[in-house]
Amino acid sequence: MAAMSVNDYLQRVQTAFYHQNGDVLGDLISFRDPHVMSLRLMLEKPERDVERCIDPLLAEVIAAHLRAVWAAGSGDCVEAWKTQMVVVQSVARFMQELKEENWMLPIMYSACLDLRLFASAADYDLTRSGASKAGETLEKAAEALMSCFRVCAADTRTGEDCTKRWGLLYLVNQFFKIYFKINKLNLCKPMIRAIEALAFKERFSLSQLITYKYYTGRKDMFDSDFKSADATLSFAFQRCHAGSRKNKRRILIYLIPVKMLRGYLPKQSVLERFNLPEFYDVVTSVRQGNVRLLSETLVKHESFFIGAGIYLILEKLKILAFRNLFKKVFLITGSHQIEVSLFLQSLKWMCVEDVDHDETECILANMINDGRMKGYISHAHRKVVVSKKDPFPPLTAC
Amino acid sequence: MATDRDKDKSQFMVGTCLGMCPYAEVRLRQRERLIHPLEMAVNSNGNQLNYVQPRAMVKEFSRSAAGTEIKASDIRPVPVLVKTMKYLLTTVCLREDVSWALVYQFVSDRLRAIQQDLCVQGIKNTTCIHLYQAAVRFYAYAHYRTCEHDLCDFDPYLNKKHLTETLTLVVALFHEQDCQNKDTSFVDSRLFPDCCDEEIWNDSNDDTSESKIVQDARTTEKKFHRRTRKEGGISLRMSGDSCLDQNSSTGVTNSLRELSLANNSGGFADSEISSFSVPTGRTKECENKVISGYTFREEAEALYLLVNFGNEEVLMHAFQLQKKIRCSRLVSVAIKMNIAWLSCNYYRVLCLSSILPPLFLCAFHPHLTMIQRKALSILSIAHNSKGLVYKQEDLAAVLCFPSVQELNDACRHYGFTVLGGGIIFNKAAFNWNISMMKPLRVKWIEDKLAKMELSDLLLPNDLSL
Repeated sequence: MAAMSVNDYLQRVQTAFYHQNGDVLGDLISFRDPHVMSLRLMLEKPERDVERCIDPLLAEVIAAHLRAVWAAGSGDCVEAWKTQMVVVQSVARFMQELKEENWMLPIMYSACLDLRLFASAADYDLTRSGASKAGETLEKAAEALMSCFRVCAADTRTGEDCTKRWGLLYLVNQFFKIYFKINKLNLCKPMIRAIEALAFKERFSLSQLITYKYYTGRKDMFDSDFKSADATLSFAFQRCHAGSRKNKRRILIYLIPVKMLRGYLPKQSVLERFNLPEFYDVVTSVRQGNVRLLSETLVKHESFFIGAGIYLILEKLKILAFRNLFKKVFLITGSHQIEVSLFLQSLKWMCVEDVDHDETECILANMINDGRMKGYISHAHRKVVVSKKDPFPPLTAC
Repeated sequence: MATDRDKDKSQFMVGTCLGMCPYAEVRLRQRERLIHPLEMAVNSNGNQLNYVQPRAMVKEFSRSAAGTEIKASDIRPVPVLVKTMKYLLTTVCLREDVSWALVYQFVSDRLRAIQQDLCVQGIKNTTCIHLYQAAVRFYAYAHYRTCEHDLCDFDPYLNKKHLTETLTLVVALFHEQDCQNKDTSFVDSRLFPDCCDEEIWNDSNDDTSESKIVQDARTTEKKFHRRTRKEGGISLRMSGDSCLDQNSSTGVTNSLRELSLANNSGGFADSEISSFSVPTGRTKECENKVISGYTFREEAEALYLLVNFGNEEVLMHAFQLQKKIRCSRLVSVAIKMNIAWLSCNYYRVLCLSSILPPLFLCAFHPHLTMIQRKALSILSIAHNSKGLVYKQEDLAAVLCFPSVQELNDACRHYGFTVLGGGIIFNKAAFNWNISMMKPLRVKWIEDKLAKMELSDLLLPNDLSL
């Protein structure tokens, strides 16, 4: 296979096309298939050979692909990215031509995936050499993907069994990967809308759905919609195949903070199983109300948390740590009227930076406002009067 | 930088207009009588005449439209833009013979023209960033100073839009610089006096006319100085003023000078060192020291955080900055304020804000009403009890209200009962539907601004040489 000849390759393409076998064709233009290693297929100008044997509809795609094979073979990612852009654009045109059919979706999948990977590599190269801004190349790739997206999204009249809209989710996932990488989450919104409007949105393949849920869950998290983030990320985590531990771990990095904010702490064994030692102390400190330990942990693993984009969420966990700390103060005093200075003392003990009476009251006020504590503050007496019944409602209820 | 220019030559035009306003535009506006009052000639009696004073003309902003060809003779090169910026931010902004609203309208329009010229020429060097930053400073300051004006004088939405757009651009340009020269990115702006531009600008013959305008403005400024003081507008001392107005300002200047001598901790971009005490007498050690001495980069990032206060994306951006910038005093305070706001810790936010230099307070000020409203809503739930009152003096201090009167107004506005002894919080009473209070100028910001010269506040140091 690695030494496949041009004629052999074109023969296979033509046969697959004749049988409308999308999967085989998809492999035949994929860079994860051994044929791309064949030196004999690395052609800078393959048009004449291709036009001789291939149906004119598909000829453009195949010619572009062979040129991309040549570019990738020469080891130049930027050239490979540029040629792959042409492949995706011609795939879009090819799909446009074939109305009321969707067998060719696997071709689009291969082409789009390769484009994203090449663009990633090219982006890295171009940014390093200073030729373009970070993310610019990926953005251009997204534009090319958009041409496919339009073809798929516009195919609304065709029946459910052969509509190209089945390809939308795969494309959307590619968009997510790009937009999350270049940090343009606002662009995800129309994508989500397109998917949510589909009547068959629950019936996509599980692997695609999990990817989709992973990214939408992360987006919900950044939008501070924790309830929805919890639901989507939990779906992704539970359905994700037990074998793909790497993916499960990635999901957990976001699911854990979200769950913690909603009052569920992960077991130590889970953290160990998925190799997430950064969270050990986060969990311990929140459980104990140990604000000092939480602050220290945030500093210690700062780069990991910032890199994953969960630093701010963990910062919000401080509120829970305060709640647990204050609950302990309440339990120690055993009274329903507690002086604010006692809370202040506990905060000072936790090394909260230059804290004073007024700030303690402010933290308490927020806690009552959020329903994490029941009672009221008397500023004149500098006291907190906590409710007789259920002064610290369980966090899962808030 | 020279190589940069050479590279850009192929793509971008280079302006050839050597005055603040292209000749063609001067003629056109004279013909059509489109002369702004601030550009009119003045006769010996000090009355404005409806014809142009050529050296006071500044190029107007006009939307670039399809079909119109941009001529190099209409575009001002960087040195001229520097001069124009200087003229706008010192001479024009200090004019007190015309209303501030008029000055604002004039300057904000001309600033946009400057930005347009920069953009057309595709300039991205350090001087250019500083020009944008000067514009940012003006927008931020004007947002504060003009906040009480009516909508016809000042549109906060538009100003905010210009502010965020320019600021985002500045931050992006700095980021681009970082990426381009990873090795030299540590050489900070304080080492970049941008000598080449300075030279051109010193050699230019217009220098004399420029200084003459400044002199003109100074005489008028002196004339109207006392009057405005009485009116209670922001009184800003000009450099030549301390000798004129001995009684009122020498004392302050001296004490300032002493302080800056004692506290000579390396002021680079701007150093306004002054002791500051919160009017309400909060005593925290950190509050007594206003941050001073920061680089242009730090200034831009801190302003970005404050203008977009509460925006988590911007906060995430700040975390990705180089450690040196992120941990600088100014930026770290801005980050801390944002983090404190994540958990609605209004007290900490307002406390930290008191150590910000005046310019940054101006940028932060638009959020003040929002924070106060949120704080009152939280307090109304946490202090919800019929028998209890919250002493006004205490609350005014916590929420940075300049006086009990303003606090009472705000409380009544949002639906609380105010008694002589204090405020009764009632969680049912808080009215979320009512519109937010119109922002007001605040005494503690006013005090800080008064201690500073407006030209120092607005003009980045290396442009003002």
